Amino acid sequence: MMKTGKNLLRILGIVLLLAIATEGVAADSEIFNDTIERGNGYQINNYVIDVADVFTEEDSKGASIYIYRKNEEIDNKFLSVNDTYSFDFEDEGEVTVKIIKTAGSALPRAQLSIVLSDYSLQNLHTNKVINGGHDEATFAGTPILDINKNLDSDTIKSGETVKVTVKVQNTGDDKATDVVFSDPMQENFVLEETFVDQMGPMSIEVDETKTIAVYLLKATESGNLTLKPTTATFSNTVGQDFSQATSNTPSITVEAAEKEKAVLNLTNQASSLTIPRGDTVTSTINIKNTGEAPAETVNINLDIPDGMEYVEGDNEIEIIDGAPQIYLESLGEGQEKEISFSVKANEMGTYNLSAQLSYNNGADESINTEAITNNIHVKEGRFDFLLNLPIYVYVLPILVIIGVGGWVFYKHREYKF
Amino acid sequence: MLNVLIIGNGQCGNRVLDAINKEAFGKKSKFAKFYSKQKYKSNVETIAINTAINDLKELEFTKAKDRVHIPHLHGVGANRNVGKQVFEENKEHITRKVEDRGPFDVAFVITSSSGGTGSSFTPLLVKELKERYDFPVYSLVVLPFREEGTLYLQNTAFSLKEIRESGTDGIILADNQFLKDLGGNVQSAYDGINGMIAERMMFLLDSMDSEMMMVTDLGDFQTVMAGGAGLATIGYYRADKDLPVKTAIQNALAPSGLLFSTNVYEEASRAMVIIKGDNEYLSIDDISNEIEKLSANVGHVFKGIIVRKGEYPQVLVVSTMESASEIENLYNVAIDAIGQEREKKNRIENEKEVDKAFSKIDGLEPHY
Repeated sequence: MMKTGKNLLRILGIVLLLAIATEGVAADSEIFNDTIERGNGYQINNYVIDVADVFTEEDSKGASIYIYRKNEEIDNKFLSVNDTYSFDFEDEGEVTVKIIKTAGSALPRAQLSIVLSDYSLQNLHTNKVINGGHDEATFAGTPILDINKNLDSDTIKSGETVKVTVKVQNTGDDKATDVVFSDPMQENFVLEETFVDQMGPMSIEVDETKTIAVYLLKATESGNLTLKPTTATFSNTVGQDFSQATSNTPSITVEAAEKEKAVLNLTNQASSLTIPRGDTVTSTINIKNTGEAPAETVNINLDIPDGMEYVEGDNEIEIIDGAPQIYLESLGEGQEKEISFSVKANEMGTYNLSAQLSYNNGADESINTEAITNNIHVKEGRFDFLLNLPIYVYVLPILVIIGVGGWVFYKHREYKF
Repeated sequence: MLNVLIIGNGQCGNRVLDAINKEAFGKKSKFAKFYSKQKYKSNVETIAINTAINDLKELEFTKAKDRVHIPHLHGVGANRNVGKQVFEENKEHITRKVEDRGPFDVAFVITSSSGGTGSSFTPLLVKELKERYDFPVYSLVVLPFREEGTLYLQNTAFSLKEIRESGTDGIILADNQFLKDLGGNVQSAYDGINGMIAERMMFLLDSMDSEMMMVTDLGDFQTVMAGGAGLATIGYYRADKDLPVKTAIQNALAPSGLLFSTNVYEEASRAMVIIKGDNEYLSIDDISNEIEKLSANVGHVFKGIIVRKGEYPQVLVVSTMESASEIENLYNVAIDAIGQEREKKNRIENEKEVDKAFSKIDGLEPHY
């Protein structure tokens, strides 16, 4: 039976609420018709109608009423029985007070009729008798949430992170209650790490500042980007809801990330720095990619100076138009190659072997560099002294050799049958 | 200076001739022909004649122009009849080679008695030379190993006879069998015998054209060779240390010094002894004593002495023989060989009877 009774009350309540709701902005609504003792008041939202004094004498039955908006007196009036007094209520409403009667002696009291006009009752959050009058009334304020979304840098590169700090301060005159924040996902960023995440619900006292969120966003695209705002829904102490608060929308410039590049280190070393003319010297070229990207179209031209002659080399060396060259399609990160070739010294002198390197560093940049051996001194060959001898020194032995050869041939033919 | 012609006929003659040409270079290496000159005292012309071209190609010290190839297959196959026919067909060609090199004072024709070309060419060639020229022609005939076969023995018997009848002025014999018996195997004998003959021929040529303390010359040689039965041999000894000259003479006359088995003291008719060496080794008394000893047994002995400073004594003896028991022995063996060959021929004739038996089925066919 108890359960059935409770359900019935709930249904009645709902019906009443529906009736009030469908009533909309009623033209006149008597919200109070009862007695109020002297010294007490009646609060309608932030307005208080204090019944300051009650006169019960027959010739002067009436009451003095004072109208307060919060603690500010906005008017006072003595009303005789059946007199009415109206004052503006909030933005568009109007309250009309009428003294119905007065009574009592030791504890005088007045019966008031309070009618609310042009006001939606749905917005009525306080509607009650206040013992002690407006001094004892509790007024509802307006919390103002100032949400600040701050970035630790206004310019980053793609792939880098930016630290986002969201703080809120209640700059209103009432405590914000049931505060719930919403911080949407940011386009062109990914959440890298979260340090603080307090999205509510919570309460924020007047002038109180709270750090709502601290997190790192990693930029995935470049450009001038604007972060979406953080929003908050909240109520004041009497449960009055307010429009959502919205933070600022900080902008950040995300620069395109710098491409990784190949860096080729080239060395060129000769096997010997002093050789006799006619001998060969071996040059060893070492090329290593110390960068962070593969090098492409690696080309090394081996410059053989006049007076020297290319003899042979490793398989990587090709002879193009008579000049030895090395071509590598690519040289990966950390990859190293060592290529050797030998040249013959035909003339005395001091020479350098130059290796001229060109490559694409992976960032569409063409890099040119060069590696040169130390000086190679080509001294006189073992038999060069022969070249300095007078011609007859050659002629005589040659004549002797020819003579001996001719003689041997002659004798051979003489005895060959 | 004498003009000397030396002809080597056939394989054996070619090789002995080549050995003489090598000896003329002075016992030097095989390359001596490239840097040295032949040391003939006389004007010596050499001709190697052969029907086998390969034999001519083997020669190393005989000039190509001195090698005369008479084309006939690759030799005459030890058949003297064929050899004679080939010579007759080519004798003008051969004699023209001689004519081109002449004139000569003396000629030596070297041959084997047993082979084909040499044994058949030599009698005819000697005859041709004697008919065309008036210089003496001597034949140096190498006798075969007795075990070399019946054909060679048969050839030896006939060729030696024909050479003797060809008009030759003398036959110098060298016997492979005798020389081999002195020591060594057949291979070393072949290698050594040619060298021994060459060494003696060089000494002989040298002695006939040298200035001597006591003179022997070509005339003396002719006189010696004209004595006896027309057969001669040569003895030789070269001391390789300080040795009395009389010992050297005795060694030259000993079997080990001779080219043919004979007892000079018993079978010789005339002799010529040439001694060469440093004056300190040439004791006239010793020489005279040894020559007198030889003369007492032989008859006349020509002697010549050539003084060569610093050389140990060397002795060459040329001796003609009145008789040669070894030749008689050889002909006895040769007669047996001729008999064996005749029997073989008869057997071949009998085999022809077998051919008649086979001929009985000529014209018939087998039926199955």
